[in-house]
Amino acid sequence: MKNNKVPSVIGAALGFALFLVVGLMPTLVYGGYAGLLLAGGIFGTPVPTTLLPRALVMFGMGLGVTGVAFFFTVGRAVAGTLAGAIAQKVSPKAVVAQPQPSTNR
Amino acid sequence: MRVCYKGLVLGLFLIIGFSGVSMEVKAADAPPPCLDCHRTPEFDFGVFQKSVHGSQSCLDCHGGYDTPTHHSNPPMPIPKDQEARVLKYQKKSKAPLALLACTNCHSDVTAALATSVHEKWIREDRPAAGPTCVDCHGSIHAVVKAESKNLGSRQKASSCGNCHGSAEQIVKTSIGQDVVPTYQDSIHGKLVAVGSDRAPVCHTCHGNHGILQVTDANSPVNPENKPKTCAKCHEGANAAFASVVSHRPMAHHGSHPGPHWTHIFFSYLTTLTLLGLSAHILIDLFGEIRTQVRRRRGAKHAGVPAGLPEAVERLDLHQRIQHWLLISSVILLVITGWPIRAAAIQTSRTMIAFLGGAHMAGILHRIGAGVLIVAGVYHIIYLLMLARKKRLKLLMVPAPKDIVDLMDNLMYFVGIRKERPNFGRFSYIEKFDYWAVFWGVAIMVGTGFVYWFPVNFATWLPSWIVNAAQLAHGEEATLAALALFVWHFYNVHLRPSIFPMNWAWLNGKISTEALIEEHPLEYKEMFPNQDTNKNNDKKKH
Repeated sequence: MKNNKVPSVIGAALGFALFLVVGLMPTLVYGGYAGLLLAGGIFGTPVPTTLLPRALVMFGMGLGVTGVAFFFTVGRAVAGTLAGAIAQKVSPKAVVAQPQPSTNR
Repeated sequence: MRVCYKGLVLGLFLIIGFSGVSMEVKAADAPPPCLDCHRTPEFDFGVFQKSVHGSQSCLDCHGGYDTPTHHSNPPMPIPKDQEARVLKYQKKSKAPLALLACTNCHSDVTAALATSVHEKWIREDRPAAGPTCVDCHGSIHAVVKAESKNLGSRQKASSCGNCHGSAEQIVKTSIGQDVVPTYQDSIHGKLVAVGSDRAPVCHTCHGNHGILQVTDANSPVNPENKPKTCAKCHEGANAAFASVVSHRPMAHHGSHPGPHWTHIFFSYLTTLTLLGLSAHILIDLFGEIRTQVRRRRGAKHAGVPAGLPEAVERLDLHQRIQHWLLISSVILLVITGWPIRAAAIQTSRTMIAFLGGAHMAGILHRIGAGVLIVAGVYHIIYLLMLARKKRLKLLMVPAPKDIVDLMDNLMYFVGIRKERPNFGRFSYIEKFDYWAVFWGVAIMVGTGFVYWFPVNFATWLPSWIVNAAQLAHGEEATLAALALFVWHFYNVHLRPSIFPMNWAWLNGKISTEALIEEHPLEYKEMFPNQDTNKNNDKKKH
C-alpha cells in the first residue's frame, strides 16, 4: 500500500511537539516512579541509593518518556495519515492522478 | 424644648450603645477593635469572616476581658479542674484558655473527646502533648465546615498525618512509623490522593473525636470489630477481608510469603522483559538505519514479480475487530488506571479530574475491563470456530526456530549476517506480542476481578491472595503499558521501514513487497511458482 508520508510526518511532528509541551515532565516523573517501584521489588525498600537502583530509576524514566512520546507521536501520525488518505480520496485531483484500477484482490 | 433635649440624649445613647455592642460582641464587616492591638500575621479577618466562627465575637472564646480596657482588669481565673489541661495547652497555643471555650458550643464533641486516646495524651503525663482542636481542624479562625469543598478528603487525611507521619512524633510517642505511608500506598489512600471524596480517610474507620486505641475492645478497628467496620462500605466483609485492609506494606501479609514473592517475581519479570525489549529495539533501529543507508547507496529492494497483487490479506475482519477492541480497552485501562497507581504524583490528580473524578475513572476502568474481556472471549470463540472448520493452523505456537531466528535477526542487524532470517507467517516478534497479550490479559483480568470483588475473593480464597493479586495487577500494568507503547508501537508504527504504520490493523492487508521482505516463507507458500526480483538478480550473478 503506497501512501504519501507527508501528512503522517506532519502528524507525528505535531504529536511529538504536544508531548514536549504537556507530556515530557510528567512522564519523567511517572517513569521514575515505575523504576522506583521495580527497584523496591528487586533491591528492597527503602531503595538503596547505589548505582544499580539509580540506573533502574533512570531506565524507568527513559522508558516512560519513550513510551508516552511514542503514544503521542503514533496517535497523531495515524490521525495525520487518515486525514491525508481522506483528503486524497475526496480530492478531484486524486481521481485524475490515479486512473488505474486497484490491483488489490 | 426640654422633651427634645431628653429625646436627643436618648437618641445619642442608643446610637453609641448599639455601635458599641456591634463592635464588641458581633464580628461585623469592619474588623473588631481588638485587632487594633492584637493583629497578628496569622490572623486574616476576611478568612475569619468566611469561617464557621465568622459570626462569633472575640470575647466568645477569649473570655474574661472587658474591652476596650481589659488591661485594667485581671484575666479570667483558670478553673481548678482545668489547670493541668491549660498547662499542656500552653505548650501548643498562645491562647490556651481560649481552647477551653470550644466546650461552650461543642459540648457533645468535647464529651466524646474526653473518652478518646487523644484526650489521654492531653490529660496524662506522656512524652508528647495530645492534639488540641487546632491540631486537627486547623486555626479556629479559619475553620470551615467538614462538608465544605474547601476541606477535601486529602486535607482530612493529611491532618492526621501531621502527627502520625511526623518523624519527631513517631519517636516521641512510639506510634507505628508505617501508618501514613501504608495508608497512602493502599487503594483507599490512592483514591483520596487523586481527589476522591468517597474513599475512606482515617476517621472513616478509626472514628473521630472519640477515637480509641486499636487494642481497646470498643475501637472500630479492634480485630473483633474490624469486619463490621469494613462492612459499612464493603457489604459482607468478613475477618479474612478485614485482614487485607491494614497498615502494613502490601507485600507483607502476616507470615505468608506469597505477596512478598509475587512482588519480587513481577519486579524481576517486568525489569528483565523491558530491558530485553529495549535492547532489541535499539539493535533493530541500528539495523534499520544501516539498511536505509545501504538502500540509498543503491542496494535493491526485493521486487514484486509482475502479475502479483499489490497487497494480500493479513488479518480477516474478526481479527481486526478483536484488535480494535484490544486497542481501545488497553488505552482506556492505562489512562484510567495508571494515575491511580501513581497517585502520589500531582499530574495524576489533574488527569483524574480531567476524566471526571476518581469515581468516574473507576467506572471507565471497569468499562475498559469489560471490553478487554469481550475481546478475549471473542478471540477464544474465533479460535474454536476455526478449529471446528479445521482451519486452525496453530502458527502462533512458539518453535525452536524462533530462538534461532532471534539470534540470526540480531546478528543481521549488527552486520554479522548478510541476510535476514526467513520468517513464516508469524515471526518471533509477532509470536511474542501474541503470547504477551495472552499472558497480560489473563493476569490483568484475573487480578482485576480480585480488585473489583475483594470481599468475595477474600471469602473464597486465602486472604494473602488478595494482596498478591493487587501487587500483580499494578506490576503487570507497568509491564503491559510500557511493552505496548514502546515495543509494539516501535514494531508496527515507528520502525523507519514501516512508518507511519502497518496498515493491516485497518484494512487487513499487507503489501506483497512487505510480505516478501518480512514473511518470505509465507510468500513462497502463497505463490510457490513465483520468485522475487532480488533472487533473480542473485541468480544472474
